[in-house]
Amino acid sequence: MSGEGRPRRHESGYRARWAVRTLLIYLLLCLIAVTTVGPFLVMISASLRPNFSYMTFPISLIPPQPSLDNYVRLFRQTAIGRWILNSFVVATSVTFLQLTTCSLAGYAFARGDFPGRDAIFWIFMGTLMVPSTVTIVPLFLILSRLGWVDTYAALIVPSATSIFGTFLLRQYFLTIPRDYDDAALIDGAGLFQIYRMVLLPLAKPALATLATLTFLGEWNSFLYPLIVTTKSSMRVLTVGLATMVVQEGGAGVQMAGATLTFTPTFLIFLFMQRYVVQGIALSGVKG
Amino acid sequence: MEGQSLVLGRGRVVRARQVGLAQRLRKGWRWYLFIAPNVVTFLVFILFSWVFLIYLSFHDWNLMGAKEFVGLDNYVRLAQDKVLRKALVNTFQYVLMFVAPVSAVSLGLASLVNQRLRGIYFFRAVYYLPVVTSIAVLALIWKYILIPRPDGIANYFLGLVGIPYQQWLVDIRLALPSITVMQIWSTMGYYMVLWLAGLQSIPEELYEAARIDGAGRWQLFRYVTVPMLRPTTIFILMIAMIGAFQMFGPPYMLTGGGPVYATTTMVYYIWLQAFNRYRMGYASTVSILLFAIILVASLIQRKYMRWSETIF
Repeated sequence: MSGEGRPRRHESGYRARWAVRTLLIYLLLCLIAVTTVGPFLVMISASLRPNFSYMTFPISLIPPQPSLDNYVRLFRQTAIGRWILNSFVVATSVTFLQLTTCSLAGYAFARGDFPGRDAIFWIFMGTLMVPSTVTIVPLFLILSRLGWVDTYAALIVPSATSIFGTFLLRQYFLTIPRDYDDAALIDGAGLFQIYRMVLLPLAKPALATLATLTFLGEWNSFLYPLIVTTKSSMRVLTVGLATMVVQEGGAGVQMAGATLTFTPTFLIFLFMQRYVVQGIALSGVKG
Repeated sequence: MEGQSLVLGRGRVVRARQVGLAQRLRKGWRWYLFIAPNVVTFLVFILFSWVFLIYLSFHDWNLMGAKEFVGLDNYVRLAQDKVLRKALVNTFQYVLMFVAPVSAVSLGLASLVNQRLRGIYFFRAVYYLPVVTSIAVLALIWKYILIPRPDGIANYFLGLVGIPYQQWLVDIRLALPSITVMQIWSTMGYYMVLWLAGLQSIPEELYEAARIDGAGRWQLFRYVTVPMLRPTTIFILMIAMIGAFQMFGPPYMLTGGGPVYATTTMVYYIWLQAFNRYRMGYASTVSILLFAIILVASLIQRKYMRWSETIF
């Protein structure tokens, strides 16, 4: 209380009320945090327990005798090693391809002067809100006609470009002053060199946002990989998990699989959090 | 004379425009290379999909034989299909149970974390955690929590407050509400971030001015926050609704559309017709119906939101 200046009337009452309010807010914040994190703790806890056991009472989150048996069983009985590989191959390829195609197209829409530029751009934007699940049947039939069912091509190529990503990068390129382009132009740079040497390095934050969102989206996607793959060896992790529900009855093994699927996205979120939240907020503000 | 010169003038303009086009093409054709990958994937996987979708809806095709043209048969079947009617009712019920609550809950969350408090970023991140997690993982966790046994986790907590244990996903009345609660829990962090962006874009001066005018806490919310959040509100309601109409993962993972079709949604039904029964034509027709419903619902919502503009 010392060094706080002149004591005012009612100050102590006001402070006490403020302290109680803050305490209540923190209590509420913690309570909600328990409901969002609790299920994940349950998942990890259950993955370390005997396969067919349920929670004992009163609920103890830390298993009495933690063991990795469920994880061992998971790798022995399912193709989860292959599923993890597939998910990584698909998610990294799609991310890399989208960064390339979206930045190229975003550059053209931001800087290019060619007939039909605005028309093409607005046609693209028009499909942004169109629900994509509506066309899963014809999309599957197109891919099966191409002979792509159960191939990486089916999992990767249709997602190699993204309208949202193109829009995101176009908007970012528009914020970069044209003076940079002009300076490079005077130095004799061509269109591609301006893109590669000037704009791409400046767009790193937008590229990081797109990369994070794309990787997470691909790693987590479910309906699309479910319909374009039928063989166990071409399943991605999320779809593999779903087939386990039917084939592997034990909750412990299922929770072990869930934990393994969850871990990479958790780590990415931990380190790239700023970009995830920025990207979401951006997509919202622009609508 | 005057008319003639006008025609002449217009002809010149057209020619000049054509020359301009040729020139712009000659100067700018390289730009098409930059957008080529996007245009090609758009044409093949989006535009052609739509054309093919409409074509398929007039055909009967089980993947084995040839496509058979059946005219409007698939559309007639829509009207007679009792399971489809059930799927429609379920989907609408789900949209109603999901959209408004998730928007309200996430707005509450956003206001809560929109305060200058130590560690508030930590809480924001924690609330967002389910959003970056796959529906496959979330569904498995909730399946475990909602085990229909007296010693399941959800039932344990019910027992603590003296409510008899429930069958959750196996109960015909509780299955869809259970999925709804899970979906609200798993997506509220996403809408929280959108609300937060909206809240933070409101200039502080507006609140100060209102406070000087003697506005209380509720009045600040009602007369400053609510009207300033209008664009955010419209956007959130719209995407929450469009997303809700397409719910698929939880019924697939948790209930297989049951019990007795209680959780069969539109998209689950499309999946069932196409990839379980191999009726590609009919599945396409149901897809078109789903699209029409989403389109109409969006238009109604837009109109309603415009109308409500006069209130605020």
